[in-house]
Amino acid sequence: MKRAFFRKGQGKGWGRRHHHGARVGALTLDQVAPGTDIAIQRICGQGPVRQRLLDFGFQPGRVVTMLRNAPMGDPIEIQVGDTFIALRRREAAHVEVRPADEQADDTTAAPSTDSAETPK
Amino acid sequence: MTDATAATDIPAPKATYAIALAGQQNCGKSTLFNLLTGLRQHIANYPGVTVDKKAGVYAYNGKHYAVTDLPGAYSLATFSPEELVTRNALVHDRPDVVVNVIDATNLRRSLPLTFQILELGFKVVVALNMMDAAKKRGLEIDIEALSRRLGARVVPVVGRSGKGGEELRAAIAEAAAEPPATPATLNYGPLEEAVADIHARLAADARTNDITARWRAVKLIEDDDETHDALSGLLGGEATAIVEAAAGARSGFEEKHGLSAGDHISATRDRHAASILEECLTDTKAGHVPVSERVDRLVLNRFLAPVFLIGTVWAIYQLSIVQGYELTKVTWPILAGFRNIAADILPDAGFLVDPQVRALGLWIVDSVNTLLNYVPIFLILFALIAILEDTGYMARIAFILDRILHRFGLHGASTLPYILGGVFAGGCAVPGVMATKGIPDSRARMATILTVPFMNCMAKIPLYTLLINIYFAEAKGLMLFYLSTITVVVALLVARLLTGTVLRGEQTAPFVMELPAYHLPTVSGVARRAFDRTWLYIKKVGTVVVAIAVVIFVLLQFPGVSKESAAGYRAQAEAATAEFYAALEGNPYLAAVEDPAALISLVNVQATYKARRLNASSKEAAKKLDDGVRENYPEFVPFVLRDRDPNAKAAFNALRKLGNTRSTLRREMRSERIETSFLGMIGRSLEPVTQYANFDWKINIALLASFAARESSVATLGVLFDQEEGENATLEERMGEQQAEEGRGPLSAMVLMLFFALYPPCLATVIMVRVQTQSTGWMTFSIIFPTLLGLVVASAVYTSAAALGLSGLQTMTAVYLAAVALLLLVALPKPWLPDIFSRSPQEDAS
Repeated sequence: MKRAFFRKGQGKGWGRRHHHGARVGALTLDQVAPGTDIAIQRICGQGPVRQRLLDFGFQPGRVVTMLRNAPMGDPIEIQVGDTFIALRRREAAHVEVRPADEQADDTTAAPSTDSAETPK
Repeated sequence: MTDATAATDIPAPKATYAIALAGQQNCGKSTLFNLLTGLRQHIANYPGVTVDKKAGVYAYNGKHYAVTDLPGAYSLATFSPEELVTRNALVHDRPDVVVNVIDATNLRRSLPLTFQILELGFKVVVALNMMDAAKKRGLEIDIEALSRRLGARVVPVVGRSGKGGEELRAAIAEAAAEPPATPATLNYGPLEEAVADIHARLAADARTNDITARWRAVKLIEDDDETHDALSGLLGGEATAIVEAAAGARSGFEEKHGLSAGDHISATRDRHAASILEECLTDTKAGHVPVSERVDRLVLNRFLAPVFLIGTVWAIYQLSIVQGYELTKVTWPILAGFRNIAADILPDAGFLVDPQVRALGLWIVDSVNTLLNYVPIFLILFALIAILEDTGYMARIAFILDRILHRFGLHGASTLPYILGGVFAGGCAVPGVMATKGIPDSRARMATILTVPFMNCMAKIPLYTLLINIYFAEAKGLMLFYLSTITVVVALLVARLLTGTVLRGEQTAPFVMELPAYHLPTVSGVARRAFDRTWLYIKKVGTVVVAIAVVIFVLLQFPGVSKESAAGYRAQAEAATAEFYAALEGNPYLAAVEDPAALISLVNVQATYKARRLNASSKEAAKKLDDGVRENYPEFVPFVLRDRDPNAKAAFNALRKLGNTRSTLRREMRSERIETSFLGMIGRSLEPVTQYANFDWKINIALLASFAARESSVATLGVLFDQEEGENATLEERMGEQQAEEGRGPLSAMVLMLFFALYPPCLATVIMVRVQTQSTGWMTFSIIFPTLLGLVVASAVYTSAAALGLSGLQTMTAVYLAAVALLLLVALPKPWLPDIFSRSPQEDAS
């Protein structure tokens, strides 16, 4: 479990942010294995990270692909449509996801997610 | 935003339209800007390079168009300085036409910004860039349908090849001539009623009833601080009611739908983009893996990535530094030629003392030459860096290295400044500090600016080489390895220290970065940037170097040797002259130099001949030189050129003796002048402080002089460690002997090199630090901190190593291992430490 060890070191300070961040137990983008398709569930947190993620197309309902870890495990690369985004794990921890084939979680379903489209 | 208006300063008839280029990063905006205006400017594939606003002008059908290139912005939120600049330029400057450049391969991501610009009520021309890449990617775009859905002109272009430029100019001209546009309305669904209501309230007041009213209404519901402020500025206390209405609508929506209004607005735009694309876009290669991704599977592979990265950096080093040095061997004679021309133009040298104009003139030419000598290296280096940026690999380097750099409070994008600064050996901190502009995170950027000068710039190398040749000849490779890598270690440690202390309060930014698709760079693009950056270096540094050269010259020349000793030198010179005339008694050639003025001229001719003969690269060149003397100074020939005739031989030998005496006297005088100069006094007065590091006043002077330009450290040492007689011993031998007499050995040399590695940036770099940080305080810090660090480290190392009786090499090894150990200690996670200590500085991100 070498990576988990590293992640602890990296993510420690994020702790404070986690409180108003992802819900406990929720699957977040930093926990996804490379090569997996996932659907965006919710973006937590405030400010620049959130805005930038939304700008890059991390919209609830959108299906994205976790492509790879950087050689040293952090940052990670995500494919959103034709855009390739690198982000640090601590930023990825802001993004709640669900497996791409699973239905939207109703408690957070926005009026928007009803039209959640499959990726082009 | 004075830059935007600067463009209109260019003389133009009244019919000048203001055009703004807006678009996201990596959309090729800068290329289009060049296409439109033909103005030189920076283009790169690296996110965030275009931070400055750039302006230019072009004429089309008799009308003038002033174009502003706005920084790349993903949206009109105000979280990054680029976005803020772009937004202010649009909202406050109100250009006549906005050209929205979008990447045709990435429409879904690009369109939300287009909607926001349309919402602002501008006349918009959409430049659909990178159509060639889109075609290759198998994307078929229905331009007409897209234009209809957007309600704006859409022009397909290929910025790199210039295709579509004419159509774009025509579309801009048409749009500019049109009456104002009606702001587009995007239906915000459940929020639409509230948007319309706030919009109506804003439109009801003359002060806020303009084209931006609807956009402002949306921003108010999003709870955007900037818009609140702007509204208060316009309406004063009356703004409160509107702000409260917006807040009410927002909280009502959020309660009902469990979703923030901002997210809903953003999602609405994204969905709208998707619905437009459903109609206008056919993906004929859906499901295919893009070429870039296939390349990345290799290039970013866990095991291959370090191989590619090291290979790339090695190639940069080989091509620019190693091959560049080869090239300087070709260019140096040209620079030496300039010096000769200057030497000929300036007033002639005296027998002992030269006119100040000559001394100063040559001093300046020498300083400038040292600088220009690096130009070939910089050209190659900058071209390679431009290729890295344009291909998109630079962003990958940031991706690969961010993990390490982030540990030390730096950013993946700090790699480029470090490479430019000279990660191995041989770079320059000036372009390095310049390149920090691209780092989005303010704290990491400051830390990079302050640590780039630790890298081994090309000017540090001569001192290393000198000292290593004297003291560590048998362990040359190892010492050079230590020195070139310890600076990186120190830079990382200092970055960590600074970000945890003085830089703690600086803002940080999230690391969310696009990895742009790979592009083949264009020759013109790369060449333009290589020349631009080199020129900037020459301009910025050149002026400073000349100014500083003058200051150092004055500090070294004055107050000059005392009257008594000057008289002493003069007496010796007279004695030597008398001896010369005595030796020539009865010699037929004496007639040519009987006049003392002729003698000085002869001595100068001989000195010049000697210097040039040494530099003559071939037999032909030497012969040409001889012929020159025969032609210009026929009467001096027997003195200057060797001949078998006994009389000529006597003349030749007498002059040689006189010439040698003269150069010895001049050297002694120079040495005394420096010793008693202002700089010499400073060097001596620093001895009480520097004695712990075992630096004597001579070394102090060299270090002080090197602050002006590092190269001069060796030149100054060369003067200070002058030999008494003849010119056979190299500086290495002279310095080694003299230092040994004073009890200094390898250990002192090693400490000196260590200090030099940590020594503050040279003045040119300091000026660049001032430019990049916009702060005199940080500039001062960038001088004082490394000086203190260097002195403390050097003193501690010398004192303890001397106490332990370690040799120079042993000490260096110990210092190196200690630094690496400290590095690992800082870098590795420390689960055993209480939380408060292990918290890295990044975690205070606000």
